Amino acid sequence: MNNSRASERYAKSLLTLSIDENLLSDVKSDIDMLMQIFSKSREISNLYVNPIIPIYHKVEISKQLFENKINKLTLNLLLNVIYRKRDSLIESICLKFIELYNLYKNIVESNITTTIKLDVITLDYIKSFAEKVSNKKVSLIENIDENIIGGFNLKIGDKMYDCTVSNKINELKKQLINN
Amino acid sequence: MSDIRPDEVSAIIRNQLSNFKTESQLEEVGTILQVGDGVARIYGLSNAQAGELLEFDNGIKGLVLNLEEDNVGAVLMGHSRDIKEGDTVKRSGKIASIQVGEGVCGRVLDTLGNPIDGKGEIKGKVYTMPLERKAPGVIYRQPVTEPLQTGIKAIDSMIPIGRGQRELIIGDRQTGKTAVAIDTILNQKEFYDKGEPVYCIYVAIGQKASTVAQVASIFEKNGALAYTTIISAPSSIPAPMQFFAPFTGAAIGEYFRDTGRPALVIFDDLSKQAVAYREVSLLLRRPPGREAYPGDVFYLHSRLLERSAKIINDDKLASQMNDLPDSLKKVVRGGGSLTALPIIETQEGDVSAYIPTNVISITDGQIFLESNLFNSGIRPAINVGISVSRVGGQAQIKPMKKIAGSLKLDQAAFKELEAFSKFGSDLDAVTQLIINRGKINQEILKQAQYSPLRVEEQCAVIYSSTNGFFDGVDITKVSSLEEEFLQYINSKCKKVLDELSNGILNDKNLKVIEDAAKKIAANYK
Repeated sequence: MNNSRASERYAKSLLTLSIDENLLSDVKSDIDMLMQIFSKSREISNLYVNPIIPIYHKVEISKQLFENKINKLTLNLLLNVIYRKRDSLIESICLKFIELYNLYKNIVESNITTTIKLDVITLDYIKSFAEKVSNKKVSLIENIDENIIGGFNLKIGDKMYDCTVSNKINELKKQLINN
Repeated sequence: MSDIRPDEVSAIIRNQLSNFKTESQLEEVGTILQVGDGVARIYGLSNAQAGELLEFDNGIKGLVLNLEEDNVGAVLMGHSRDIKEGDTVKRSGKIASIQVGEGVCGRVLDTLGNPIDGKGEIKGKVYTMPLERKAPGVIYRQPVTEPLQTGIKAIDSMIPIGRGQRELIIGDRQTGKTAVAIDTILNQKEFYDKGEPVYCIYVAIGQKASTVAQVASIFEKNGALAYTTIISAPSSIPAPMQFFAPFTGAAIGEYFRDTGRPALVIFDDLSKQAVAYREVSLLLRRPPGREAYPGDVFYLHSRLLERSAKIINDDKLASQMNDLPDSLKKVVRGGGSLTALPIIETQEGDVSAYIPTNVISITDGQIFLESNLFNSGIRPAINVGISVSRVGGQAQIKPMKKIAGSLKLDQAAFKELEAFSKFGSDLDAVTQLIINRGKINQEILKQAQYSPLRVEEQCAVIYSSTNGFFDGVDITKVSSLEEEFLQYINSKCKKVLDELSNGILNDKNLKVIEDAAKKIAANYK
């Protein structure tokens, strides 16, 4: 996160350019794909982080991998950051892009954490509740975590309802220690 | 420790469990990106305010200091041991504040206002006072007119301090800076006994915990703890807690000030606070300036010291004071004051370093303590020539003003001639007189620790000495002469002393003192 400012500048320029050229949804799907590739293949994410690999190799590999598969804008950005030796930022640029995209589209990310898998009706209900709270469109991500013991934790952007058993136990512990 | 009864314990726990809330509220949270060195960077918390209190998972408090483009910089008010990357942080919605009430007197508190002396919670009604608060505006103030008696002859006569003043105590290590401050607190016992106490707050920043305990025991032994609060921020606690400690002291002082009573706060010492602030600032990556202090270190001290003030003696106007905390609004009274005695430690007498010059320019005067004076036996080691009080003169009681009016100039003339006289032995009678009287005055101005004098006693002693009634006395016997003289006038001339303390100075009273002084001095020639 040390260079988050630089990443934000790159992400912002990509976003505004894609809006101007009416390619926003294409670019977004490119970025999603890139993120997926980075998380799946360690080789590719290492390729960009590694400063020893010469620039022309990186460019060649990127072209072979992505040419005709992703949008021209996205590819240009990728090549640009490689030429400018900022390619180690590529992942954080993608993250920033998604953040800015959400802001632009008035979308807020929401996380629901439970111990068991929720059914569709409950998820729909949670989504509409989150939309009501935040006044924004909600993209809901479902997590399952046994460590919370029970209950649920709903996070909407930087707001949170923590109704987990583990949190309540923690609160009780603090209260007993403080008195 | 008293016996623990199991049934009582289970009753308490039962009570706590039954009060435990099970529903959840919407909370604003952030995620820790980075934590270390007592500083955390937090993502999220988009609505956090600067100076807001945060709560970490393990109950440790934090304070927002930096608001940046995409993260929030916060300092931890505790150890960062159990905090890790990815933890959630909650907003509290409150800016940093402490609970103050009458119960703080006689207690030892930490920076967040929690008692650390093992005497239980603060008793009585408490009010929430913010740590950072704007100083009262011009229309809510009044010139300094009442004296704050330190009980130290050299200070009360030549460098008088008024209630609402800020007087810096500056000097090298081991020159008796803390001793001056402690004596001042001890001297307020007189007013406490009279039923009009000056509430004292002693803020110990970056000191040894053992020193703080020692100070507390001195207060207790001398009966001064009843009107004194100690804020302890020893060097073992994290830097943010150290640099906030003076603000805690000021917040407590403000409680007394705004409820119409005089208060005295001692910051011991601000150079260590500046060092703690520098540490935090550098960790928060604020750009360093001179001596690596951040650019706003002047503002740090000026906003703190500006809070000491003499409030206008008008309840209605005082109740409209700016930035009053809501909880305090109903009990505001006019006429209160907050006097500040900041302490600065210099290195090798270098007053032109960054922090000393800053604080000298902020305060209304300074008391210089010098190690060579201290070592030559002049204690308190006050260098009268360069010590000043810019507003205290108006606050002196009339007899003291009149009696000690020429003392400072006399002593300056004596110092000059004394240096000069070292070259030759043949001196004319006038010079001889000035030197001899100067030496006696110098002896008279010496004072042992923990032995403050009442202002009327000081008047009598200084009057006798400056008018030459002690002339010709053996220099080594001056202190015992003074002691006997004080005993004599305390037993025989009680009425004269009472009148002096009420500001009455007439020839008849002066004659009584003169006679007494000459009579006692005759035994010491």
